[in-house]
Amino acid sequence: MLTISLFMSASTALAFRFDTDALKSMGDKLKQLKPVSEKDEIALGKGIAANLTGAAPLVNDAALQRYVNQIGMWLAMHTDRPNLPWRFGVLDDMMVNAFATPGGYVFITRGLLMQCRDEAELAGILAHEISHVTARHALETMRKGAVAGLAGDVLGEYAKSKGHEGYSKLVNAGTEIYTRGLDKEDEFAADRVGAVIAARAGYDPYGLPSVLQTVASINPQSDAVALMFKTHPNTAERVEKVLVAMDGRLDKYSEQPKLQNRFAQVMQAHVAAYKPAKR
Amino acid sequence: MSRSGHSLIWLTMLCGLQTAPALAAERGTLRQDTVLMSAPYRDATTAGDLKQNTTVTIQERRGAWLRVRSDAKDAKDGWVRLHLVRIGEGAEKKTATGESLGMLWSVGQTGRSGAQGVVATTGIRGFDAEALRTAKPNPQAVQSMDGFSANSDSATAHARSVGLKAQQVEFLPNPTE
Repeated sequence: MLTISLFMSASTALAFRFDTDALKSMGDKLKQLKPVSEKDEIALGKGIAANLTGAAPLVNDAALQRYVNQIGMWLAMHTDRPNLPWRFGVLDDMMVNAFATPGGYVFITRGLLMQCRDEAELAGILAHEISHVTARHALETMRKGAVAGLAGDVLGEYAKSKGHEGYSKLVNAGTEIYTRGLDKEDEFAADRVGAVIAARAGYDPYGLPSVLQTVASINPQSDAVALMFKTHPNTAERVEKVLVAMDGRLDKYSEQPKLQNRFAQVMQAHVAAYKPAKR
Repeated sequence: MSRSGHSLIWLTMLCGLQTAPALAAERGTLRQDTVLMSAPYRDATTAGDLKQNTTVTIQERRGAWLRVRSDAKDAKDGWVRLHLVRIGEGAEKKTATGESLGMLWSVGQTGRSGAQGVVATTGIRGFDAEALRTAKPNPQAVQSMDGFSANSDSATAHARSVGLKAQQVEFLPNPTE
């Protein structure tokens, strides 16, 4: 709860002020919450995905969208939740970021895609996001009531009523996570698992630390990274941590393909035909 | 298959290789004083050292390592760990409000340029937390994603067509635990 409050902007803090008694009572309610069914998880994720695509449209390039879906699905097949209705999308936004909602909606911004050197780097990003889904990080963050002191309650109410109003509240509470970020340990864990999923899928698993290193080189004052840096642990620290975890364990997979050529062909075709989506 | 058929395949492959997009040389800056290694291994022999803020050209990437070369006349060449190099050269430049990052892929370019390549003149501003909070939901866009989705058969074919081979790999322990 305290770590989340660190992410809050002043205006948010005003809107969601709560006292310790309320926190304690919410904690008690939490213990009674049942795990969310997969069906509800997917419905919730779909709602959050609609909010994300409301903030930034999908890139108007069917070939690019299909390409990212093929890679994403291949990666997801190497997890313990291969049968979720996985959907991948490129958002037409120059901001550098990626998102995953419960149930398997994964987004990368065009701004982050443009930072990738090869398919192994793109795969590393998608695998990181896929890991958030398979580990139910966003869902658990909501269930623990760590968002605005609201979601835990809403999840419980929704489970009882399944009403439309409950659903909207739940989706909006869930969307809050994407403005404040997950626990940083969830991010470090998704980096470790993401590298493993990429290796399992046959990619050079160093694609993830490699693209993170590029992102770590972007000036932190830049608008393009404002939201990502606000919602994630320090990128240079992420690179160091994931490299330490990979050391001596994933080195032998570093000769697996990076697929620079296929990626370059897709990107060149995309850039040549690019027309900004309508907002 | 006929001998000429084989030759044609080889010719096509060779042409493919020659026209394959090459990465433009990337530039980097050392984050700290760094010892260069002669090979991408911790126990390799050392190959000199470079001071913090030295500008280097990135020659090669292998696993957690980058092969870099300094610009100086007595150019030093060796391997450093990935996280010790910041992409781009010189002091970090502050990007003005509203200005977007450099475009790394542009029309006619043979590959990816250095990290801070051509700066797009029309900064498409990224959405911020407030924009996300107040966004009007777009369920039609989410619905349209079904049309681009892959299934396990298509994804497997897409992976195999470029030689990706599935591996059994254990999860990594958390080193801090």
